[in-house]
Amino acid sequence: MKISIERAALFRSLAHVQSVVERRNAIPILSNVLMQARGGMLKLNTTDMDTSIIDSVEAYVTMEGGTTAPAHTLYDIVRKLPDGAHVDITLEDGGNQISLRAGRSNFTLSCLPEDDFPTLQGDDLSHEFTIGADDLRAMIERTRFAISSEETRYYLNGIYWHAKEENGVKLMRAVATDGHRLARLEMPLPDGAEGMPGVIVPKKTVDTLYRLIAEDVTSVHVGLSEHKIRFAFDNIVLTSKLIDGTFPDYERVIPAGNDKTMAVETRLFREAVDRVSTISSEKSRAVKLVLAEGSLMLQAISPDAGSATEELEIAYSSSEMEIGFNSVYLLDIAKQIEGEEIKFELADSGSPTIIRDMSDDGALYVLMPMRV
Amino acid sequence: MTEFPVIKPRQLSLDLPFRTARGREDFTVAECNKLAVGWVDRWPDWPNAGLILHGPEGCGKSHLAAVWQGKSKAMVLDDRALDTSAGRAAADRGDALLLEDVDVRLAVVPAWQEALLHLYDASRLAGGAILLTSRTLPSAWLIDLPDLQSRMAALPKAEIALPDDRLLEAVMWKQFNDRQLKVEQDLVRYVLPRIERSFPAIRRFVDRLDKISEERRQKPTRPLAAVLLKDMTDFPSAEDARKCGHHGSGT
Repeated sequence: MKISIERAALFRSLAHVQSVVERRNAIPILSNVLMQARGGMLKLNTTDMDTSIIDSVEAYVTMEGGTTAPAHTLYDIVRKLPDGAHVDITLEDGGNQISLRAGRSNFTLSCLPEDDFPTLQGDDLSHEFTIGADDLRAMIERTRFAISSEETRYYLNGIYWHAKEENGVKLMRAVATDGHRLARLEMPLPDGAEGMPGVIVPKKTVDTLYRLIAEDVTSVHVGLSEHKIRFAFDNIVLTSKLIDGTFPDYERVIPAGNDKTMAVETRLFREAVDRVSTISSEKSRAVKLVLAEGSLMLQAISPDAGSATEELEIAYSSSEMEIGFNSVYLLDIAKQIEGEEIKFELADSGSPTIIRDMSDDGALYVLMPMRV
Repeated sequence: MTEFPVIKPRQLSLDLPFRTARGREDFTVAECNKLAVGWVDRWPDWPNAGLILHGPEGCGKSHLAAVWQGKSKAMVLDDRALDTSAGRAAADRGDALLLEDVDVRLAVVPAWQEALLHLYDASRLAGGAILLTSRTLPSAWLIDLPDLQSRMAALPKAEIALPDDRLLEAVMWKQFNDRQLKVEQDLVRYVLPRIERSFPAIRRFVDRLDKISEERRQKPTRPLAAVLLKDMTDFPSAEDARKCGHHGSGT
């Protein structure tokens, strides 16, 4: 294998693929990136056995071939090369090492054979469809903060993605919950997604995907089955195993009869919660909401730090009530609200509260209170 | 300023439901239940038109009844069957019928006596079958109708008895698995000798360990289990008391 490639192009592709490589690996080849030079393209591939990223980039291929080299080291080398540099990579020593030359810099890196590199098959996908990159980004942005990081509840360690028909309207839903709060975003079901199985996409895949599609991508081709999902866009293919678990019947925890509604200006609410929670105790982060007609009093108290209150004007005409929440959870949700007003649908101080974005019918959040 | 007493805040958690595995392969066969399992496995080769499955709360009657219902495609009778003709029509067609917690139903709704008698007769006449589950034998049921008494007495009975150690452990693992909760083996081995030897006690324990670990964001570990066991012994909650008296446990 012998190639010549622009430093910027190689760096961009390595940045895409290196994120899936763990810093420490019991299996040495999982620390490596598979490089295959064929037909004027350099294909880079990394995997952690659960997720695989392939990125293809144009290169001047003098001699076709392939090998694997340490991904993070290669990434760090290319990162430190000057802008505009040309990189020459040559497989040497009977395939045991590559030499990398750029200007006056020379590096040699140990290699492992390309045939030893494990592949994560992504064929036999039962459903394929195309989704707008903005829609996909929104589905991740609005829900991923609620993903559980508790490994004991592995079935909550991702976003549940499924098709749903409601009142004759076909919808695609993304749902995440950590047992304390739940986030749900729905949008029209893309063509071809009818009958897709409900799948739980792992958090690592979600985060990787979000990072990758944050660039100038307009649409993403999705293929999925009960066990795998594949996202393809530009020259990138991200394939991932799915979480092998059953997502709970989340609709049963979305209350239907919350009859007390409160509307408040999003920005003012967010800032006030942030200010008042400065006082709440480090561990619980509790704030109390005291609702009366037309007014909301936010309160926080800490045995060590003192106390804080702040009053806000709200639209509220039900009976007076008090309810406590974890301020971090409140802020997490408030940050997702793009509209000028945020709407709370409450029942009592011990029951789940629904929070909505007044400018986005598709987003819904459920938050469990704290006993304060 | 409004009074704001300093108490330790407690995060509540969503009551996310879990799916109870009700397949035959999910049912652990042991000495105490092998007779009842044998009856269900033998279906439709039953010598009589029906069977009474009886045993203490949470012993697995509903699970085994669900296995039978899956095989026989039985209509599940509930209190709505008293007001509609659907149950009677199914009995007249010779369809299989399932009535759970018959002892409790007869005690709470006396109209079930008449209904059960007619359903049983119609089913038998049409060559159908009926499975009844109960915590007690028919002799302890609140029945005034002599015809119903004699028919129930004549039905074959299969008992699920109190569990042995192997079954208790299997049931505890099943409770964790139903909740998709990963726990270490040492937790189960620690809890089993220290907990009341009954299915309801195991279910309540796993239920509370699940809830408390979710609220506190702690792994369900042996130390947490130890605290919970002590709490459950010292202060059985109102919820526990209510569950103790509740029928239809869904083990």
